[in-house]
Amino acid sequence: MGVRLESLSKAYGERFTFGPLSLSIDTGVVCIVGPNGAGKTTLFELMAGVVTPTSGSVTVTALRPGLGFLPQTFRLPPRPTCNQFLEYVAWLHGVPKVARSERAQRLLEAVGLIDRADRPLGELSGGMAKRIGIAQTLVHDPGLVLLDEPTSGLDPVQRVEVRELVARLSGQRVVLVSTHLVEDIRGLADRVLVLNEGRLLYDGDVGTLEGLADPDAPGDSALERALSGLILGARR
Amino acid sequence: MNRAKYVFRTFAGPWSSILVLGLEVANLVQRGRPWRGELLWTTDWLGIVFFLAGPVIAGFCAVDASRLTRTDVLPVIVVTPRPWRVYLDAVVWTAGPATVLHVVAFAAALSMGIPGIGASNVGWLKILAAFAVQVLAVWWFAALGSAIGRFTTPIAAGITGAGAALIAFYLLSFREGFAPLDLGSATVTRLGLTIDGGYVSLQGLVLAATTGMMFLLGARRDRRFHLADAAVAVAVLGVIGVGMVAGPDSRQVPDRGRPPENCYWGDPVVCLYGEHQRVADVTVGDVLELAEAASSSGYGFLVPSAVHEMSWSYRPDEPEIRGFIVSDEVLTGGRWDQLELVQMLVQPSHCAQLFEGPGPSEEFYDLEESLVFTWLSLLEDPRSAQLEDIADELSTKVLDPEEARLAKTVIDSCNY
Repeated sequence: MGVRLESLSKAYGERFTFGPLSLSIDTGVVCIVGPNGAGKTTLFELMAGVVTPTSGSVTVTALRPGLGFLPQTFRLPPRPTCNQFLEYVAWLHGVPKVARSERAQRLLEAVGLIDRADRPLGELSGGMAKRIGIAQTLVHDPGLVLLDEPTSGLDPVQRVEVRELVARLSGQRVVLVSTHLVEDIRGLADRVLVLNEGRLLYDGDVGTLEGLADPDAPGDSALERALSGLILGARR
Repeated sequence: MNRAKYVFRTFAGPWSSILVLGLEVANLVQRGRPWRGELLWTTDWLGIVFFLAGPVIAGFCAVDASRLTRTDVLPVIVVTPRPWRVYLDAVVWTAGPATVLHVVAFAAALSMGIPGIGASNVGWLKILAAFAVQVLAVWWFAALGSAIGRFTTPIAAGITGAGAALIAFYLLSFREGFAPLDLGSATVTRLGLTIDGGYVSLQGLVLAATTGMMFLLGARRDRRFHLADAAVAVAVLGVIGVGMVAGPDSRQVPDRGRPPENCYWGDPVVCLYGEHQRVADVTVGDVLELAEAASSSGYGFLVPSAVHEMSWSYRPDEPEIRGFIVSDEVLTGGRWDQLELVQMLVQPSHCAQLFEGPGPSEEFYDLEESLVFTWLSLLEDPRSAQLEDIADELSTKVLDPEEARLAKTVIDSCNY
């Protein structure tokens, strides 16, 4: 049960080609790591179906249908309250009327914003906005959740909060988290995919990745040295 | 309930209903409501509102669609497997209230026309079809705005959407032949006309099809114009073009030509259509006042035996029956302008050449004018807004009874 990518590729003229990429992803949290331009967002957009692949396919066989997507950057409409916002997204996803209010309340509780339920979105801090963004990906209880850089732009405390939140809410679903932060990988990942220039460099668990650390590569930790070693090696 | 609150706090469209409400009310009360009692005219009068309401609806929908066409606004269109739903919701919350307001305005207008409305011989089915086309137009303007808004920034979208709606209304409403957006917009009586069922059916089809097509543009993440968008635009223009080429020529056609059915027995007999029952008292009173003035001064031969209200499809065909058209002044609650009423009583409405061909000769107009001035001179203090303009002629063109009888014989002969 999960997501299967088969020879998935996307070409943007001659500038950039993603893939072809074939792999299966089961339930749990998978971190997608890579430098800027590695193809993380392209992979997410292909999986979300908002970009048509040049070739290949994405098959989702998760326990539950549905997709939740948190873009890397987003803006919330300032005037509606947290509650109204989540209920509206639930309506967009076709959640039955009787369940919307309860779902919104439960998620606000889960993301620690229940005391802000009736406050306008415009009053939320950056970390709170990320949390409400994550909550909206889960409002229809999807089997697949794509979080594009959910910790970017947050202070250290907020990053820890969001990581804990993602780990807590992952449950029986496939959660893909795009990041370039080592702490995210260590704090979240059941599995790591390392991408560079549209190619998959590594697919495995965190421990094995750390074992690949190149002592000569730049970095403060084994994980950082492993990642930089992989990426620099691919560029050579 | 939270959905409604969200919508009102996020979309601009729902707030357009305040403007639409103002326009509907203004349209209903403007110019003294002369349409009251006429079913078809009431329906057509309501169509006037779209001249401004259409651009308002389109403009607001364009703003909302533009604001939704961004990947960084949550709920972004990419989070849902039914991405069109958020666009549709914005349109529904704009066109929905506008539809409700238009229906309420229609109901209010009909209630103002009681009991005259009941006398209409235009079938309710045709009226409802014509009204349904107006409701479809609300959604058409909303879809047009929503489609345009996806390609530009919010402020530009509002201006472009409203401008496009205004241009569309002009191009597709005021033209010879089939006009998809001909929603009535009548400012004069529609008595004697009926709706062409085929015409409004085709209008409904064209508007429904093109509204659906404009929604087909679907959700998008950028404001670029794609090939698929061009295909939709061509299809919309194609459907409208085919309708304009192949559709019937006239939305309204003359009815069977029924004479007025409500007659008031006096000297002369005055007959009005049931739709104008509300002005019967003032009309009969003013006609009898003129007749009395003529009879008591030795000019009784000028008074016809009957006076019939005319319509687009009926006019009297006997010299002893004169025709008249109820003026706007009377329909809006005023008295008859006696100059106008005398003109109608003098004019030989049975003479076809008054209404077709090159028209009568100069001699006819001289005789008619003399008779009108003669009749007016019999009144102590004629009521007419035009009296100042004709004051000099009034005194010089008065005929004695014999001259007047001769003049009447000539103009009644239809031979000039």
